[in-house]
Order: sequence, then structure tokens, then C-alpha cells
Amino acid sequence: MATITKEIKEILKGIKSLFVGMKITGKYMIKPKVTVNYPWKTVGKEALEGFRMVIQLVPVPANGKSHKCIACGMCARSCPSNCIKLDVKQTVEEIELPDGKKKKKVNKNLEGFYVDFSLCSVCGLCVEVCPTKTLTFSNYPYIVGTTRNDFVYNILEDFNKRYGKE
Amino acid sequence: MSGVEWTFIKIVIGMLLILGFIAFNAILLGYGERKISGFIQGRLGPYAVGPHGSLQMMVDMVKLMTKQIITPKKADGFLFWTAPILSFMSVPVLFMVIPFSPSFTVINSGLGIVIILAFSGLNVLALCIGGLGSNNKWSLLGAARAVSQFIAFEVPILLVVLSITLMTGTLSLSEIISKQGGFPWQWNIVLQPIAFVIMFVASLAEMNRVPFDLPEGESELTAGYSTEYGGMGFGLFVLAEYTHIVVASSVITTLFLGGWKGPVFSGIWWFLLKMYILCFIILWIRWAFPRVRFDQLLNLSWKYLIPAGIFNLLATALLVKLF
Amino acid sequence: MELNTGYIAFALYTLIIIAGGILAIFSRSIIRSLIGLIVILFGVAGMYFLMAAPFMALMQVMIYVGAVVVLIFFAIMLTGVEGNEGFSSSRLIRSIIPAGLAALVLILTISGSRINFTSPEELPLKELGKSLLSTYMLPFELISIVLFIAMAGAVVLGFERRREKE
Repeated sequence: MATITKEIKEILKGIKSLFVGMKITGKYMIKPKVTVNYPWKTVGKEALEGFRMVIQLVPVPANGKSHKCIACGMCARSCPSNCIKLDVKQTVEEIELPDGKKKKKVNKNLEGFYVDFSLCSVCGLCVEVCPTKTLTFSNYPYIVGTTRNDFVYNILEDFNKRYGKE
Repeated sequence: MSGVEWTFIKIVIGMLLILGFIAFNAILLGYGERKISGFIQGRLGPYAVGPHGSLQMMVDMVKLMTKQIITPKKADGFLFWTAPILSFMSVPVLFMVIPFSPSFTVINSGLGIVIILAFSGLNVLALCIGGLGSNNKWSLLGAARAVSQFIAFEVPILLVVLSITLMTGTLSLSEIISKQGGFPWQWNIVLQPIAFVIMFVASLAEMNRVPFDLPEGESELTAGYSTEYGGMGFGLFVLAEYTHIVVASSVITTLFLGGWKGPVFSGIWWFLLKMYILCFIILWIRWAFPRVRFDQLLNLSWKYLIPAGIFNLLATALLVKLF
Repeated sequence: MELNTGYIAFALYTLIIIAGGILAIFSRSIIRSLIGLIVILFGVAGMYFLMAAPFMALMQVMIYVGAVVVLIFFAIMLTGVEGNEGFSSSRLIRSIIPAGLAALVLILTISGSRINFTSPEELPLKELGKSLLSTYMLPFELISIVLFIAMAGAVVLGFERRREKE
């Protein structure tokens, strides 16, 4: 007898759960929709907050003309998928220290910052590791390309185009 | 014009109207299914073709019709193409006997419900032939599942129909409606609530709808019996499936919900309203519940629905005899 | 007029039955033979319609096509019989004996029975049920007992098979 009452209770519970499921899905059916009709409408800027696209250089000061990249190469070394290539021109010049000694100084000049976005997994290690906090994620999602090379970005050039050469 | 010829002409006109109705319903339900699935998942559903995507199904139909007809090399071509045609062929017959309204009945047969039961069984035969003919393991498994599911759920439906027949004393659908009244408390559902639940669940299982869509369970059998079909072969299967939804809703409306009778202005609109509400619930269920496991499915039929159906039948017989 | 349409319908159904039989006998694969069987069953259902017994015809479709053939399909599916044997005369002779016996019985029955050519009348379903439960009570009950024994036998066999496995 006890098993029968247990069984009946189980059945009633199951039937109740069916109605709960219908209620929840019904509620969602009349809720406002979260997606938009994309090519004609796009989500606003706020919705893209936190969206991760290809990395970009941060201007200093805000909307300024220069960046703080010192071409140290930490980002390229930390990248797990090896998609960052730095084009660095090294020049060695001898400078005189105040105490009269002469010392060699290596000048690193950033000539190109290439990111192959088709390999990038947007893990963010380069952003974490950057000592001068120069890297950040951009958030413009509407990209398109016909060849693989379309997704190799020279973000230095993009920076210069956007904020102008220093 | 003699009687025989007039009946013949009436059947032909009815057939044409029914084919139009089938196509209309397939479009409506296909569109409704996508929209409902979208809404439940917080999406918009089809939106691009026509206002609110309402012409999407037309475009899909054109796509299905213009696709190349492919028969797999190792498949049995004859069986492979018999299946979808058989599946669709049995469908118009089902509509012939459904009394949409007193004047909107093609054949007012005294055996209406038996005709529906007999010819809806051909669908599973088509699934079997298609599954065996396409020479594919998924198809074969899907067909095997379809058969055992069909056999399990045919029994409770018969028991339920039998208890309704005992209560009303007729097999004719229009007479079953005429024994019910216009108001909800005069419908059969009040007297036979268990039968209504059994009928609804078993119909869902018979037409392979979620949560009983094991014969075509996408995640485990790719597409079950219809794996090898493309183009119009697949289209006919889908057409038959949607039509079975409409037919099942119509039969439930007729048996339990008073058919074309309503509190005011009895007529075809009441029938269509009740039928489409049931269709909507069936589509809604698809996006609300997960698929059951196969042993659960068979247990549901043999352990719960059939004993409940037999109990209901005996109780009905007793009460009919007493009162 | 009435009689002529009747004859045409009779010829049509006979043709359907014969075509189904030919398909069942001469096709290579066993599934095609089964299709032949389905065609025959539909033809017989048509014959029932012709004899003004629509209930019988629908039951024929429902039980034979809807259940029996489907079960045979199931059996073929599970056993996977590939009937690709060629023609053999010994098999022909072996199959002629039962077929001949059946044909002999049929011919004797037809020749011995009174055939009247009145056009059939449709009987209300209630009459059918009443005669099943009064005049033909004994055969009706015997058939149900046979069915019950078959069902019980299937269950017993299934249990024994399972016990052997364990």
C-alpha cells in the first residue's frame, strides 16, 4: 500500500511538473525578445560593452595621439596561439652617462603590430601581460572578409589612422 | 443528375478543397512552429521574407520542390519512393470524414472514426517502408522505433474511442457532436476527463511529436527514418506530419470539445478555433518538454495509459448501463 | 447502370489483387513481397466495400495493414532476412502442395454453396454486434480464447528466453 501511494504521489508530481514547464515557456513566449532583426537593426553600443574583438592600442591621454607601447614583445611571447607578430626596428646608440662613462642604449621602435585574428582565441593574455597597459580589446563586431589575410590586422596602422600620427 | 454522380462530384470538389486546406495548414503550422520556438527562446523567429517573415514557408516550399531528387545508390529505389507517397496519400482521406460544420462534411459516414483510425495507421507503414528502403542504419532504427511506438499507443486510442462510442452509441463523428451541447459543461471532456488525457498523450505519440519524437530524434538518429530523404520526399513526410497534427486536433475537438458547437453562433469558426488552439498547444509542448527515453515511452503506454483506458472503459460501460 | 459499375469495380479489385499477388511472388526482395501483400489486402478491402460491408473493409485496413503487416515488417527488420535466392524447382513443388490444397478447398466450397445474385445490403453495425453475441456466440468466444492462448504463449516464450540468457 505504501508503495502505491508513493507511486501515485510520484505521478502527481510528474503531472504538476508538466504544467510548470508549460508555464515557464509560456512566460518566455510573451516576454520581449532579446535578439534584433540584424541586418536592419543592430544592438546599441551598451550591448557591445565587454565584447571582445581584435586587440587595439590605447591612446594616451584619452583620445590623444600617442600610445605607450615600448615594443617589449611580452604580448607576442605570452600568446598561446602565436598570432601576434611585432615588427621592431632596433637602433643602437651610444650615450654618455652623467658620470662620464659611455653606455650603449638600445632604442626599440615599433614599426608594425600584426595580429592574425583568424588564429586568435581572444583569451586576453596579451592584455593581462602588457606592462604599460597599452593593449585592450576593441568591440566592433561587424567584420567580413573573403580571404584569410583580411583578418591579419596591423593594429599600429589602424591606431595611426584613427588617432593620427604623433 | 443522378445521386451517384452528384456524390462523385461532391467528393472531387471536397478533395480539391482538402488538398488546399492541407497545404494551407502545413504553411501555417510550419510558420507557427518556427515563430513559437523563436518566441520561447527569446528570439524573433523568421523575419526576413514578407511582413514578420510570413512568406518564409512559401520560399521553403519552393526550395524543397526545386531541389534535385536523389536516390541513394544502395537504396531500393522503388521502396524509397513508395514511402513518402504512401505517407501523404493516406492523409486526404482523413479529412473527408471530419465534420467541420453541418454543411462542411465531405462524407457523412456512419463509420467516421473507424475510417480515421484505419487510415492514420498507414503513416507508420510508410515510415517502415522508408526506413527499410533507404538502407541506412539510422533509418532502420528510426523505423523500428516508430513501429513499437505505434503499436504501443494504438491500443489506448482504441480504448478511448470505444468508451466514447459506448457513451454516445454511435461511430459517426457528426452524431457524436450532435450529442454534445454548446456550452463547455455539456462537452464530453467533462464526462470523460481521463479519456481526454489519454487521447491527447497517445495522439502526440502516434504522430511522433515531441516529447515522443524518438523515430526521428535528431540528436541520436540524425533524422531517423527521413535521414536519406531530401527535397520533396522529405517535404511529403513533413506535410504528412503537420496534417496529422491537424487531424488529431480535429478528432479531439470532435470527440471531446463539442466540435462546431459553441455558446453563441455555432458554426465552422468554433471548430477551427478549438482545433487551432489544440494545434498551438501541441506546438508549444514541443519547445517545453525534453524527449523521453524509449523505455519510459513504452512504460507510459503499457503501464499507465492502457490500464487507465481499460478502467475508463469498464467504468463507462457500467455507468451507461446504470443510467 | 448499377450492375455495370459493380462489374467494373469487381474487375478493378480483382486486377489489384492479382497484381499484388504477382508482385508478392516474383519480387526478389522480401520487403517488396510484403508490399505485394499490402496491395492484396487493399484489394480485398475494396471487395468488402463492394459487398456493402464498409465496417469489415475498414477493419481489414486497420488490423491487417495497420497492425499485422507492420508486425511482419518489424520481424523482417529484426531478423534481416535477405531473400535473394534464385528460382529452384524443388521449392516450387514444395510450395505447390499447400497452395493447391488451399485452392482445392476454396473451389469445393464455392461449387458447393448456393450463390445468389441479389445485390448486397448494408447491415447496421448494431445487427452485426447482436448476431456476434447471440447466433455466433460460440465461435466468437473460441476466437478470443485462441487469441488469449497465443498472447499467453508469447509472454511465456519471452520469459523463458530471458531466463536462458541469465
